[in-house]
Formats: sequence, structure tokens, C-alpha cells
Amino acid sequence: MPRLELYSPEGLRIDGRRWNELRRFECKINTHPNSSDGSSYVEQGNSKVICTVQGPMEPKLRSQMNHDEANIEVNISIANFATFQRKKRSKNERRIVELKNTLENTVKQCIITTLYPRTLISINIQVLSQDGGLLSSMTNAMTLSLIDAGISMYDYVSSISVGLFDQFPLLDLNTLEENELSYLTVGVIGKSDKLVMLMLENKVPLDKLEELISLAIAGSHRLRDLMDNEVKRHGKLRLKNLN
Amino acid sequence: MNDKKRLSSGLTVTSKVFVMSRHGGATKIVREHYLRDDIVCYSKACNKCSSLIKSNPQGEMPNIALSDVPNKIEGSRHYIVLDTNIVLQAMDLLENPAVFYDVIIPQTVLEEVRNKSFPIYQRLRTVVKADDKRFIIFHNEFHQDTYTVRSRGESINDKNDRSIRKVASWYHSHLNDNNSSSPIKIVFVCNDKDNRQKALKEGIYAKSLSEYIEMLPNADYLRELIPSDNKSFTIADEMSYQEYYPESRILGGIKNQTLFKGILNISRYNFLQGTVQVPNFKKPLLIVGTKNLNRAFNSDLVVVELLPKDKWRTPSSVIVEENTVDNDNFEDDEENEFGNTNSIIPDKERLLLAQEASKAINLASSDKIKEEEKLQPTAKVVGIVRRSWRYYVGQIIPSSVSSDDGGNASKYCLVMLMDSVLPKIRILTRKGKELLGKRIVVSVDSWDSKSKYPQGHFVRTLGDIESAEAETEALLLEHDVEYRPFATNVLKCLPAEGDDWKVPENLDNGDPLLAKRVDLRDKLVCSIDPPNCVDIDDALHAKKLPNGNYEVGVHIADVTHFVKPNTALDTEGASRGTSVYLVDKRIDMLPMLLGTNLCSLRPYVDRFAFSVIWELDEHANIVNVNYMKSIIKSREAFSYERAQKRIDDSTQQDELTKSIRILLKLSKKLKQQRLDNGALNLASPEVKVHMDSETSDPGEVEIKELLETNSLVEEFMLLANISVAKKIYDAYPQTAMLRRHAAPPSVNFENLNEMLKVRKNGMHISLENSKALADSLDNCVDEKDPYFNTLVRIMSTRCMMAAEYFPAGSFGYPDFKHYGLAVEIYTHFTSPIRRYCDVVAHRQLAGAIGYEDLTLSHRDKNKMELIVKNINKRHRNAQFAGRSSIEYYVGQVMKQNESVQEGYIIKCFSNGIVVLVPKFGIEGLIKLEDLGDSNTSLFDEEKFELSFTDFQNQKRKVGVFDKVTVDIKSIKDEITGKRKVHMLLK
Amino acid sequence: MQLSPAERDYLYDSLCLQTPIRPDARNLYQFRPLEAKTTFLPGSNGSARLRMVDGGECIVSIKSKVVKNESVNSLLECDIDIQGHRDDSNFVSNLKYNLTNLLTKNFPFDALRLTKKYSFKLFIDCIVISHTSYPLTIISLATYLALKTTRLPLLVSEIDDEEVEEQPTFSDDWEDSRLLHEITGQTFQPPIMITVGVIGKNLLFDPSLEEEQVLENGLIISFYNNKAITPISNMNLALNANKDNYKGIDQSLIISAINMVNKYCSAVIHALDTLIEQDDEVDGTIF
Repeated sequence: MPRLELYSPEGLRIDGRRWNELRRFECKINTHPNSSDGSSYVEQGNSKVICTVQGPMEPKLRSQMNHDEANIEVNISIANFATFQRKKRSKNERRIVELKNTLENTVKQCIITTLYPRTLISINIQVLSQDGGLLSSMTNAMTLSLIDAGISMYDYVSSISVGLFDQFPLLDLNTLEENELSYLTVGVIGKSDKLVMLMLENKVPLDKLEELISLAIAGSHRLRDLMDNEVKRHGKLRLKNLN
Repeated sequence: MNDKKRLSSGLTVTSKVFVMSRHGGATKIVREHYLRDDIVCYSKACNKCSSLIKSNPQGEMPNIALSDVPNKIEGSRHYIVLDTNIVLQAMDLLENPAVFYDVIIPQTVLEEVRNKSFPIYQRLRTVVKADDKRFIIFHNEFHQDTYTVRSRGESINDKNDRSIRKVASWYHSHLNDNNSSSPIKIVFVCNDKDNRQKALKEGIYAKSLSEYIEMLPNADYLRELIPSDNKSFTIADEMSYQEYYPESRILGGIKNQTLFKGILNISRYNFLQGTVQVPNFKKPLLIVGTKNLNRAFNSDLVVVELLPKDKWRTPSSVIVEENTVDNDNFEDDEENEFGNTNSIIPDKERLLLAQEASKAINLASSDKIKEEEKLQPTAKVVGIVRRSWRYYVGQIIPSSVSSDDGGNASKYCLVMLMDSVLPKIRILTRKGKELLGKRIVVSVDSWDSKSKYPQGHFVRTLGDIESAEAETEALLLEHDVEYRPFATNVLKCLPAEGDDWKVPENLDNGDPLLAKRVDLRDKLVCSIDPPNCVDIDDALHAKKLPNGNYEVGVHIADVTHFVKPNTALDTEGASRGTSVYLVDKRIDMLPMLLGTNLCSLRPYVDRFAFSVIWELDEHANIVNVNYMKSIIKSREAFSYERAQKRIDDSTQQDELTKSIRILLKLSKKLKQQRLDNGALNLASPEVKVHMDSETSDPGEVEIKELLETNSLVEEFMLLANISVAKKIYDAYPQTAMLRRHAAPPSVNFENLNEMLKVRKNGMHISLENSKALADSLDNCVDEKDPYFNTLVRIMSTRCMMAAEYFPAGSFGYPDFKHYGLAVEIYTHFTSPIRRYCDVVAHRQLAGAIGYEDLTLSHRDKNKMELIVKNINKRHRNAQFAGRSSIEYYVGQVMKQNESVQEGYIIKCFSNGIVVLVPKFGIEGLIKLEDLGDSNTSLFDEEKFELSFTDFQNQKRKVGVFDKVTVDIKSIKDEITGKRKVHMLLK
Repeated sequence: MQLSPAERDYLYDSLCLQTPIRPDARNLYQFRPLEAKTTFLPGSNGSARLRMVDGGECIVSIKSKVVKNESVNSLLECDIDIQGHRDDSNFVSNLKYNLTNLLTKNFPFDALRLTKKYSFKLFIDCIVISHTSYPLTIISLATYLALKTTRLPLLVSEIDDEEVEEQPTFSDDWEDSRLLHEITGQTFQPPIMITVGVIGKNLLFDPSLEEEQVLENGLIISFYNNKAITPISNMNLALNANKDNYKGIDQSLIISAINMVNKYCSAVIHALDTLIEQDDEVDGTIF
């Protein structure tokens, strides 16, 4: 019996948000200028993710070279301490491989890969703390690092999760909510309604899907604006330093 | 980490950091906590909050419940803010319509209540939802002005108290500083003296519960209902129970298996003795004496510790009769010895003890050792995990009411509960004398280790003992049946047209669901029910098809057209689970308007129905089946008797009668098929009480009689249930609502078979499968006694398992089997007016045929588990309540006429026999002392026989299955106020 | 960055001078500037992030778990994750061994005892986000910071559970949790490890990536309670790059290295402690 009031009759969630509110979202780009070509740090609630990008560069192995376009690889590492209960994780865990493939597929659709033939773009994601919205925060961090690295993209990819509580969609779930609800994560291109990613965890009834996705798109658009502010802030700072 | 951060969206974020100790771990947990500025005060008098009101995702606006003209107290209008202790102690008063309107429950209180008692939390939520008492939850923890931070060294309780007080002062300034036109006083009701004093210091108008009640105009009535306050409890040191172990020790002990957790089951025959079944041992542990029971109630979840081996006992071989005279005199023999085991026994010794106990239990269940050497391990209660406390019905013990008329002062008196396995409750009341001879409801508050009896308080009176109203209400309460009228928010869900609601004349009115309905008004549909039936669930039709087959339709009231999922109406129905039928009263699951009118398939009018239509061949095999939502028009509502007459009357040759004859013919074939498959024909001693229609006094008792037409309807209902079960299982393999009946384990029949073998020349009930069982039951015939077969069927019924509802995913397909009906898969579909299972089945069927989308809650396995758990419980309770009701009325009938009846011995003990009297469907114990000379009696356990010399100095021998003649009358027990059957052998 | 032969010669010569000239103008006993942040991981008992100017960065988390004494070998477990290196590689295993060895030999285990049957076990997880020079220094210093700020929940149930089992129960208020030195009542200075480069007659504290490539040898010296302690070991800090210069080590140099550590490392500890004190104000984000 779920003894928590995940969504109270008064319309408040377990952490005090309403159904359509985002958690605290903070991001920084160019956090690791000395060790990478592009980097970012994203916090969504208590989820914390570092992302660094190396490249475009010459691949070490011939097999990693593609004559028509850039080869992109994503490496995910989830810290043993990322969850409340420490858990030793292997990089080959099925769940992590699944996330890696999802992110690689997503990012390939957004980077104009034909501009960087014969190169490798390596994206490293380090998850420090996990409190729901794992895929979403990784996607957002990835977008920011790629921008920082100056890699040509069609537009931002912003991402958020949406869950279904009874009849109600809830935006941006934390761990407690994720444990109880079925939810999906979308990745949206820029301010469009186009999805580059849709990951559905367990089951959602078909007739509710549209409602969930449209809330997720609205949420992603808001995140895109927040990320854009950070990119602009950083751009202005650089300009100032140049002068 | 109490930093706050303001976000662009207007929220402020902070975090809650705490340590969670679970399973001995210590995990640091950090959760975000958002503070808002848009939480409204829910007051109609407020002019500030209206711009803050936000709708939910479905566009519904919150209910601004607090009245702008609340009740007056000492001349000024007021709202109430409650402290947690008031909710926990006085939930009854909060539900009472005479007091507590416009109440503010701080979120802090709600959360504390939820952690301490989930049932009270649910009751509180219900009161808030029902909105007729204008309760609101104020989420102070999320409000940026009322959020409090725990300061260094402050206990969590102190912090919560401070938060609650802050709500009171916030409301005061919010409403009265440049806001509402008339001032509204905020009264903080709190029973914690310390907190109240702090509140007064902070300028809050704080009152204790009794102070508040005294200020009300109806204080005289309410005063009695105030729960006892533990601290004012003055009877000290009359007893000294062992204190419960601290939680850490209990958890550690359970983990290393030196302590055991289980439900306490107090013996029906001896209220000072109980057993606890724990998984570690094959047989339950015995708990003897008040000290060892250590304040536990029957069905509490308790933690027990084994007693040293020298305190173990040999099991008693006689039955101890229910002790009702005066429990105080009951010899609690080993009490003093047992009590002083407070010294700590090391784990090592306790582990050895547990091994010994296991051995002793194994030894006792083998036949090799002598009866006297069979030791049964005993234990004592050292902790209570969950109390089973609820409302209890009982009556004041006359001797406990002091005779001197000490004016108006409250006095202690003892209440004897109806349920004999529960202890007496001490209550404080001014009206002890007035309440004598009444059935009263009490609630238990606490049981201090120094107090001999649990402390409780008076809730209300039901009326005079043995008055029909009081007894009926008592049994409803005792069986946890919700019988209060439907709340306004439930009734609001009914169609606004009320009794004038009609099936739309224009079926093409643009309603897509209406367009999906099939118009079956041309079919010759009729219903067959008991006489004077008003809630007609089902109707039938049949007709011969050109190809020689038959079209047969079953039409069920379309309840789910009116009961939409997730409405208050639906929630209420789900919670009631079933209608309850008492001798003189029916407690509806759904409001009358639906049951007896809108859904009821009345004759001559159009009604919505859910239809199952088969094509059956000559042998009643299914050729084809279709399910549809439909519109029907019943041509006639027959009683069983009238239908039977019409069939039998060969002059009737109209189409309707012909179709009933087709139905009858097919039903007989269906029945034969079922019996061939091994369906059981069991019996229970069901009787019916005839009420005198004028005085509504019970008149006569009669055994229910069955006509062919009963069986006609039954067969088609079974067929519909089976067909629907298959269909919804196909569509929802995980969550389809089904009903199963497990095969009885052979041990259940051991005793009965042994009796048959010894006393009836080797008759035997075979358990190979249901077919074998059915056949062997048919063979249990005594030519001299036609009733004998029924008797065996009655006794077999008691050995069977209970059928249960379940979601399909909980069992593998082979376990879906309904043993009694001998079908592979089964559900309940045909009575949605009175059973919630059927409501779910209707929705699932509607989903399966694509009529409308199925609600999420019936597609979610966890939610289905919850629904099923509740309806199984409600179904059981309803049956018990129905039986108790019959029992009560049978007692009333017998009260007037003492009579001589035929009975059968069904059990035989060394000190008595149990006799079943079919005429009344009751059984009773005849003690050896009432049979004859107890000194010369001889009990032959192997033959189930008791020999004795009766009072006429005749040698007599009686045994199980013997037919006897008894003198039977009903006697009232003056202390419990209960009637008991008293029998004497002729 | 890999040096060319000419660059290497030049650097080798300048470091061998009697008053050596380090490429970043540090003196011999100076550490590179570093920045750090503590207690930034909400779910951990203690945490630290430490970053050197060269981009080397390490994050350390300390998490506690209640264990039965009999069921574990050690009350400390270290794990190191370095981007670009396999967990079972020699590189990672060596670092892990060094750190584990140092800590298990020099730790106030009394602080972890709960009852007669139960203790806390600490899991020390180090993540090296990036590194140029040999990462042992940043790992060790970050671990120092994390251990210094580690808080353990307060036990509220009985301490004596010898005879009768008690399930340990803790105060739910995180404010009641205590730092390791508050539990033992003694000052607690976690051990650290320092890398010292050997070149000619000179010893260099905290050699950079470039310096490592020309060193004749490398020393790893442990420091605990204000003095140099064992384990002391030597290794080629530059991994595969420096094969030409690497050679044996003069005994006297080891002794002077120990003296140097004894003399200057307290300053390092002091600097780290000051960092923790200044880190009090919490601004939420770590970058």
C-alpha cells in the first residue's frame, strides 16, 4: 500500500510542487576547460551530472573511423555512491548499455555529423547523484557540452520525464515518484514538437500517452530556455574576456 | 543544510535531510522540499487568496470549504485548528455531526496522524473529502510563511508543535488583518498542556478539548463523548504488566529468531488463553494468563518470547466453556509464577529454547508418545506491532456502577463487550446508571501497564438490549459494515434527473457511446426473481433460431453507465464492496435510486443493460457468444412462483411463456452438464425468518425452498459469469477480476471421514476430484433417515475452502478453478447492483469489447490487489452479519415458544455433545452435567460415543450422527445481554 | 603533453641545477594550486571534489553502512574509478592498493564501533574525472577532505548487545550526526600520500606531467599525525613515457625526502583544513 501521498487531493506533490512544475534546474557550461573540449554540469533537483566532450579528434583505432561522417561514442559512468544505498556498478550493466545506446542514437540525429568526417567525438557522462530523471539530465548535460565544444548541431536537445499518477500527468519526477509511477522521458529538438527520443519505462495506457507527451514537450521547452540563458551568459563572459 | 534558494518559477527550494534506520541500517536521505506562495487558506471569507487559486490538470477548481459565516463561540465566529493529539484521540467527535465545523488540519498533523495510525488517517481524509463538515487540509509545510526549520537540539515533536502553532497564528493574521469583513476567531484545540501554554504565550487562543466542548451550547450531550485522557487516569498500581520491549530489541530479536511475530488468536472457550501462529513453528504457541497476554487484544499483531521449558504445558483435552459469569473470579493459576520473568535471558539460551520448542511440537504431532508427555511450548507477549482496536459494542456491567448518587461527577465503570474474546473496557461517564441495559458503542484509547483494564470512552448508545434496532446496528458495527447514509458528495454523482431519468428517445443524439449500444427492445425479455424484488439485476430472453439452435440472452443492469470510475460514488461502492442482507434490513452498496430504479431492470420501461447473447444448440452447447451494451424493455417481472405456474399452465401458449419454457429446458441440460463435470451440491442449514408484516415481529422460521425456476435463473447466470470470465481474462490476463474456489485439503475431511467410517459402516467422502466428491456425497445415504444425506452435506460444507476474488495475474491458470462449480474459470458479473466485483467485471468487459477505455485502476495489478482484498473481506463480513442477524431472530422466535425438536449430534466430547437442529438451523452444546451423572460417564473417543446414566437412571449411549429429540429454548445471559440456545436431551 | 627530446633535455638540465628552475616557477617544496569543495554530495556522509590547475580532478564520496563485525574483513573499502582506465588494470589496482593499505594501517577504527556486534563500514569511492600527472596526490588529498567532513549518524539504541540482540537504531535527525573526531574525542588527521620527484641531487614536491617525464625516480611518502610514516615506496611516476632517465635511487635522498616531508607537509594539511573552514557557506552548485 503506498502510504505516501504522492499527489495530495489538494494538488501538491510529495516535495511541494504542483503537477506541472519543474524541479530546481541549474546548469553550467565550460566547467572543465583544462581537461576537455567541451564540458558541462547539470543539476535537476538532487540529480547531478558532469559531461565532458573530447573531439572532434582523430580516432585511435581505424575501426572507429567513418569516411562520411563523425563517429560518436557515449560513455556513461554512474558513481557507486549515486544512490542512497551504495551500489557497485559495472559499465556493462544492461541498463547502462541501454542508456548509452539511447543517447548515441539521440545525439547522432542532432549533430551535423557530415561536417566531421573521419573523426571521433567522445562524450563522457559521469553521474554523481541520482534522484530521478537520469536520462533527462544526461541528455541536457550532453547538449550543453556539445555546444561548449563548438560542434555543429541542428538545435538544442532538451529532455524531461513525465509520469502518470492515476489520471494525472506529473512533470519531472524525483526518485520517490519514479519508484511508484510509470513514466516516460522525451528529448525534444529546439522549440519544435519533434521528438528525437522517447523512452517509456514500464506501461502507460495508450489513451494517456498524448497528454503525457504534450506536457513533456512543454517542460522540455522551458528547460531549453534555461539552458539557452546559460549559454548566452557564458558567451557574454567570453566576449568580455576577449575585449 | 537548511539553505533556501529562490527559483525563477517563484518557488523556493530547500532540503530535508534525515537518517532512515531500516533493517538496522542508517541511510542518509536528502529530499528536496519546495516552498510556495500560492497555497490558499480555503476560506470563503478571504479576499486575498482568490487570485492564487489554481486548477488541477483536469481543470477542476479546489473546493473553498471554510464558511464565511462559521459557527459562533462565545459570541464570535470561529475556525478551529486541530493538534495531532485531538485527531488521534477524538476522531469519533470529529465525525460527529453535532460538533466541529470549519476545521483546519495542518499538513504536519495529517502526516503525524498517518505515521501513527493509518486507519485514522483514512477516516480523516474521508471527513475532509465529504465536505459537509467543512474540513480542510492546510499544507503548511509547503507554505513559505508557515514552513519551520528544526533548530539545533529541538526534538521532532517540539518542531512539529511549533509548526502547528504557526498555522494558528498565520490564519489569525491572514484572515483578520485587512481581509475579511467580519472577524474570525482562530481556536487552537490541543490536549497537550505544554503546547497549549506555549500557544497562549504566543497570543494564540488555545483550548483543551474539554474546555472547547464546555463552551458549546450542546456541551451536555458532547461532554460524555470526550475520550478519556490518559493523564487524568487516577486508578494506579492495581496491576503491573511487563513493559513492552524497546523497538530495537524487538527488531533485533525477530531477526535472530529469538522473538516471534504473529496474530494473537484468543480462544473462543477461554478468554485468558490465546495462541499465536508464527512461521518458525508448525503449531501455534500457547499464551496463558493475563500477565503473559500482557494487554494484547484478540487479532492484534504481537511479538512473543518463549517461556522457559518448565512453564510449558500439556494441551487440554476438554473444552472449557465460555466464561461469562464473572471473569474476575476465573483462576489465573500461574499468574504469579509467570509474571516475574523480567530478567534478561541471553540470546544463546533463547535460541536453544526455540530449538526445544520445535522439537516438542514435532514430537507432539507424532503419535508415538503418550498424551501426558506432549508438551506445548508457551510464550508471553513482549510487544505489540499493530493494534486491532476499533469500535466495540457492549454494555455496562451493573455491578461496576457505584450505587451512591454522587451528583454529576464522572465515574469509572466497566463495559463488557459482545465479543467474548475481548477484555472489559473501563470508561469514565456521568451516565453509568442511565446506560444500564443499553447496547453502547465504546472506543479503546490506551492500556497502561499499571492498569488492569484498558481505558476507553463512550461513543454512543444504540438502544435497549434486545431491541431490534440496537441489535441490528450492533451486529453491523461488529462486522464492520458501513451502514451510514450515503454522503452528499456521493449522492451528487447520481443523475440530476433523479427518478425521472429516462433512456433517451433519440438514439442518434450525437453521444458516441449511446450510438454503440444495440437496441434489443424487440426481444421478449423478462425477469424472474424472489417475490417483491425491487433491485432487479438480471433479465433473460430466448428464442428458437431458424437453424434449429436457440438464441439466449442474459441482460444485466448497466450499473457502470452510472457509476463512473474514480468518482466519489465509485469509491464508496468499492469500499462497501457488497450489499448486506439482514433479516429485516438491507444495507445497499449503491444508493437506492440506482439499485431500485435507474439500474433495476423494471418491466415495461426502457433500461440500459449489458447483454450476453449466446447461440446454443439443442444440447445447450455454446455455438457462439456476443457481448454488448444494449437497451432493453422487459415484458414482465415474474416471481419464481409465478414463473413456475406460468410454465406449468399448459393453456399459456404466448411467445413469452414459450421462451421461458425454452430457457427451462436448456437450463436443465446445463445443470446436468455441470453435475456431470463434478459440480457440488452442498448444503447449509439455511433458514428464513418470516416477519409479521404488521408488527414486524419475527413469526416463524422456515427452511428455504427451491423451485425449478430458481435453478433456471441460476444456470444462466453461471453461464454468463463463465463466458464473461473467459472474455475479460483474454483481454486482461494480469488484472481480470475473477473468482476461484480451491480444492479442500484432505486434512479438513479427516475427522468427518473417520466419523463416517466408524459410525456409518465405512461410508467415505472421496477427495480425488470434485466429481468423486460429488458422487461420494450422493452415496452417503441412510435409508432410514432421509435427512442424513443433507446432514453430511452440511458437515462437508464446513470442511470446504472459501471462494475468493482475485486478479488473474495472482495465480496460474490451473489454480483459477472453481472447485464447487467444477469450472475452469469464473467471475461474478450478474449482480452489479449489489456486488462490486461485478462492477469491475462490467468495466473490464466494456473495455474488452471496445465500448469504452478501461480505467487505469482496473488495469493496474497493485490496485486490483487492493480492491480484491477489500471485497473479499466485505463479502465475508456480509455473510457473517447475515448469519448473526438470522441467529438473533431465531432466538427471538424461540424466546416465545419453547419447543421439542428433532436434532442430530454432530460433535461428541468427553464432557458434552453438540446438537444441530435443522428446523432452526442452529446448533447447541449440551453439557455432560445436563445429560446425566457425570461421574459414571464414559467417552469412547474412537467410536465418537458418550455413555452415561441419565436422570431417569437409564443407561444411555449417544454418538455422532445419532438422531435425538431435544427440548429447546432460548435463554438470555444477563451480563452479556446475549441470547443463547439452551437444549436438553429428551 | 608529450615532450620532444630537445624539450626533455632542456627541462632535465634546468631541474638538475643547484637551484633548479621548475617550468611553472614553483620552488621545490611547493604544491600546485588547487581548489576544492566539500560536502556537496547530498546522499553521502562525506564528500570532496579537488581540482589542480592542470585540469586534474578527483571526486571522493564516503558512505557508511551498518555491518555485523563478524561478517566483514575490513571496516574500510576503497574503490577507484579513472576515466579511460579499466577497473582491473595495473594502473588502477596499484592506486587502489596504495590507498587501501595506507588507510587501513592508519585509521581510528574505534570511531566506527557501534555496539559489541555492529560497526559502521566506510566505503570510499574515488572518481578521477581527469588527470595529467600521477593521480595519487589528488586522490589522497581529496580523500583527506572527504574523511575530515564525514559525519556518522548517532546511535540511540543500547550499546551492549552481547547477550540480547538489539537492532541498531539511529537518531533520524541528521543534525545529530557527528564528525569522526567528535566521536573519538581526539583530533583526527587522515593520512595522506605525497609524490616526490627525484632528479640529480634534487627532490621536487608534486611533480607535474612535464617534470614526471624527465625524473630519475619517484617516491611516494605517507604522512600521518604530522610525521612521515611508512609505507614509503618508489615508482616511475610517468608510466610508459620515461624510459631513458629512470634509474636507481640514492639512499641519502630517501632520508632527505623524509625530512622534507616532515618539514613541509604540515603546511599542506593546514592548507586543506583551512579550505574546509572556508567552505562553510553553501551555494548549492559545485562549479
